[in-house]
Amino acid sequence: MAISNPQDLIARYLQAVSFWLPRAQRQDIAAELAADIQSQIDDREAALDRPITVPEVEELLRRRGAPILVANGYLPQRSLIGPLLMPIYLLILRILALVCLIPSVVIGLANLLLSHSFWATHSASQQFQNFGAFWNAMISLAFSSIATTTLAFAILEQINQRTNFLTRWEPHRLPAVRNPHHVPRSGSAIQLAVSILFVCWWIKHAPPAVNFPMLHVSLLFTSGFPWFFWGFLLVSLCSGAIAVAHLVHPCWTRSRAIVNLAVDLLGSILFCTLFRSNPFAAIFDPDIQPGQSVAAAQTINHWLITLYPWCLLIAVITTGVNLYRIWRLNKNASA
Amino acid sequence: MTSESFENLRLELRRGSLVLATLAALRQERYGYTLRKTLAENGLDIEESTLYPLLRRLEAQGLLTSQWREEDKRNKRFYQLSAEGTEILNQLLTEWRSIGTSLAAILQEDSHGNL
Repeated sequence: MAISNPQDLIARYLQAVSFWLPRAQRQDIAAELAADIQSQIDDREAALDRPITVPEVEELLRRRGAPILVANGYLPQRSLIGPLLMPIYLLILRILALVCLIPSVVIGLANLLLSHSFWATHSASQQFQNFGAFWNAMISLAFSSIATTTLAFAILEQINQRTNFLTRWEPHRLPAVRNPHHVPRSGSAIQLAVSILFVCWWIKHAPPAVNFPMLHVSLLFTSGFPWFFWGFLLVSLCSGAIAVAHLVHPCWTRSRAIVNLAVDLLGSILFCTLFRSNPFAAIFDPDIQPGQSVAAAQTINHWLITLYPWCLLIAVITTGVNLYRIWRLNKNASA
Repeated sequence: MTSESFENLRLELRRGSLVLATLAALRQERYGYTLRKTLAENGLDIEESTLYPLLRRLEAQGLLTSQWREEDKRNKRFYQLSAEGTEILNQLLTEWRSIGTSLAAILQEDSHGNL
């Protein structure tokens, strides 16, 4: 229905603005706004020497702005996550996507498409349903992760507004300037210790079965085990040697980076092959009845196959990191 | 793009001076509409949606006082600088002049350098 009375139009505008205003100030602000609009109309009518028309009032109100924007000017400036936390929030979301969401999608999809049961036993409609269920799960995962992160940051924002804990800082506590080629000696010491411990344990307890003396558990390997034994031993020895080199000279060099890539590649291949090769023949545990030791080993083998995509993903990431390191060292050398 | 950048910077520059202009104009009691007209006549156009929230903020800070009064058979809210507002205005004007002096010195220095 067309509006014929300018006052009606003004009343509608004031009502729309008032809707968004805080209750305590609503009446006062609306009255002041009304007085201002009326003064403007009075001025206009005096200049035109005639009553103002509805389209002219429409134009006048349009220039004042949308009711929600006008009301917004009176409201305190609030934000769920303020400018101080926003960069950290975006960084966490990126990390979340890179470390959790994208790998989950890739691995979930790989598990789904590579499983024999998906292709062999289900009809096309069931496959479609499984596919839909997978994406539903992924979308739920994405939403819940983003919602949890947002909620955590909103709470942090509220705490910061009350305590200002994020703005309190000391220049001397800033982290040292990062040298991407530097290797912390503490990390190298840990790497060396782990390598030594692993080699000792591997030689003492491994062949032909892996023993966990503290747990009183033994895992008996299948016939292909000697390859893994020597392979893992070689990887551990090389890793220990790299750690020693880093302790002496705690900096990446091109040759050291290439050796590290080769060692990591060998380790990745061994792990990936181990996960897919049903490595365990039997498991001996005091809690497992002798007749069930083979079945228990098969269960572990099944878990390993399920975890294979994750193993593959870690291998790809590790290789990527190594290649990036070599590329950066080459770039620095050429510069 | 250049004119857009200029417009953004111009608005930013004016935003700070609007508080000063509003406080200065309210040394004399005015209601919102006449205040806006006064500022516009002196070259400082300000939108209603900016002016009224600003007046409320300044009043909440104790720099302005206001009262509803009838004028020309209409109820209007009149604003005026408070005692505290007068003190703050004087301080701000000193600061404003100091910025002007600094800027003039910098510009003069630059023009000497260029010459």
